[in-house]
Amino acid sequence: MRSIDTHISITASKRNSVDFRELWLYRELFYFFAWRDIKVRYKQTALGAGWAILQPFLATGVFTLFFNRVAGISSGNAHVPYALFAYLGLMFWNCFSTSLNTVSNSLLASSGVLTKIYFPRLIPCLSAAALSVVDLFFASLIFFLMLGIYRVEPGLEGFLLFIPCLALIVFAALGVGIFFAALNVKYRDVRSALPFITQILLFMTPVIYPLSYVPHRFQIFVYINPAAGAISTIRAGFFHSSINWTGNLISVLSAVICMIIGLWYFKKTEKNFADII
Amino acid sequence: MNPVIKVSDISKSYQISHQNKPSYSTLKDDFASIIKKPFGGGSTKTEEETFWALKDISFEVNKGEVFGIVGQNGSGKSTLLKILSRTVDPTTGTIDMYGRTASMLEVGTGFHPELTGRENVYFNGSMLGMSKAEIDEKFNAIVKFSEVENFLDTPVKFYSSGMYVRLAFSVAAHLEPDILIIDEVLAVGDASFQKKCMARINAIARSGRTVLFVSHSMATVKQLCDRAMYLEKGVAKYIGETEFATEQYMAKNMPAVVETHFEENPKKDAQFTNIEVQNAQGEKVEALNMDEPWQLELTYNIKEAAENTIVTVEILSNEGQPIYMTSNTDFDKTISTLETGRYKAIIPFTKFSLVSGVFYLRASIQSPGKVAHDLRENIPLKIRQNTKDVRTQYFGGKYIGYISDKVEWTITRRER
Repeated sequence: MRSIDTHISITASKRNSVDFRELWLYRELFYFFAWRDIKVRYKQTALGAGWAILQPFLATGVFTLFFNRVAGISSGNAHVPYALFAYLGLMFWNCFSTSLNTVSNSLLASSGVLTKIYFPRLIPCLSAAALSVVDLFFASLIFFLMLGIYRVEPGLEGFLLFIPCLALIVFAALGVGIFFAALNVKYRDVRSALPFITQILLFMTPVIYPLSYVPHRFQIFVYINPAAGAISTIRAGFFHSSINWTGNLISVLSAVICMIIGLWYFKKTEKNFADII
Repeated sequence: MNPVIKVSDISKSYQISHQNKPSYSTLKDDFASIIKKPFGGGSTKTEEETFWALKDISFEVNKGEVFGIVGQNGSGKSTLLKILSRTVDPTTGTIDMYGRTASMLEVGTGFHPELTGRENVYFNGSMLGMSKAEIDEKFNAIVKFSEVENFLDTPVKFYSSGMYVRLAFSVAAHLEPDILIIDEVLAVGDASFQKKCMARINAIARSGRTVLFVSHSMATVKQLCDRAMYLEKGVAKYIGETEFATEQYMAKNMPAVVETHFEENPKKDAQFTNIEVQNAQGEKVEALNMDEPWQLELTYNIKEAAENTIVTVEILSNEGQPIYMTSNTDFDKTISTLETGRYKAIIPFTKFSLVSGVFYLRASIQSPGKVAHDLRENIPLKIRQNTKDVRTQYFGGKYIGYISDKVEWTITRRER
């Protein structure tokens, strides 16, 4: 048995704070949830991990054709081909949108066990983000291959900022996702609204266009979207442009605020999950 | 002794709406109700009603005790189990549990169809509270118990439902917490595996763990539990002796007042008019003393001569299992015709006696295999025990089986 809870107290009072100690004790379950998602995802697909690469790759092809060739949008940097630029952005964007989606649906997806077995309800939410992180690592292999093909010399900052940017994007997706996951238990509308929201967000985030397309005085507002901060920063890192640290600070703060609101709402509604799910 | 489970004033209420609305709502509904009644708190009160699934439940369970919970469907057993296993929060009250707790409420929840048997053992085990190291250690035992060794690396979606539940039960059955919450519906699979499940549950219950046990089988509850609680409509009607709790449960399953005198039904050709449990002196009694002779008095009316017809009496256990049957033809080689008339039969029980507890009588006038002219069931036969019996001391104060006759053993030492 997990060597926890030698004294459990169940009360009618609200549990309003996140019990980090308990989360830590259930870390193995987090791992098992993530492991299950990854196993299942790669099990019954012919391409398996190939999808992690194919998705941003095909999207890049489509965007390059329509936005670059037809609409004439460029990478905003003469040395960087649009395809490479778009691929890097889409890679991170996919990580964001997929985690947002899986985290938001995580409670509903495990409603069967939720009503039968106790574990911290945050565990399935947190582990739902793992799959998209694994996907991102697969997808990044192609990115490094593309760097070679296009003969673009990557900036050292890109490698250094890879993990921090990933962390920011996953943290933001978790914050918003946890809020939606809790909301989803009560309002199934979330499930229908989510694909639409992510689609709108894609166009509001500098993924398929560079941040420089946004008028300079508005650029700082774009950073309120943490995905925008992460994607602009990783691009700046790899493609030798200057990093907007103020913008990043705004992105990080915004992600933290999302997380606080998400956790607050989650904790507030948590005790009713099993009753109404 | 300090209680390891302390439940104080637990209540749980649900809002039930009379519109058959799903428990989840859509934003539209909530917006609509806010627009309709901006100051009405978002919901219309007339449609909702508070339903108390549990009301002020308090009890304590000591270390090592096996505590039974019995009650009809809808009595709040499941809600209580959910609260104890922490999937649902109580509306009021507190529970303190000292020790590592695990619950076996439903097997196979969390099994993923795409994962193999082996993978599911790990995933499910982890979800039920085992660490990876522990699963590693018990893996072989789990697999052996489940009898699905050959299909371990097959996704469970290809399993037969029997294999599936066997594996699922095995995982749950290998939890080793200090406090275990068991729902007896766990005993799954075919008859032989069910037997194995029950044996396992028995072993767990007897291994010194504190166990909360919910069951519909009074035989199992009596056999396993040191104490029990009888729940009725969310209220704890009785907490204490297992015998009394199960008795109340059984009594509730029967008509409140047991009529032993029956009105004559003009449509029936043959029928009982009275069935009476009596002591040896022929006096009607409410309960018999154990190991004292007793008798049964039947009066019946035959309006039309019935060919090949017999009168039978069965004694049934508390669980409805027939344990004895006698008929008016016990000594006859052929079945004769019951001639018209009013009869009184005295059936003396002197040869064997029953252990203390509640039994039920069933009497019939029937042509075996053809027609039942009259059938009277659920006539209680209560047997009281006035003195302490040395025979029960090793078995938690309970009798094993139904017959209380003592036997003098003749023992000679053959070899030293």
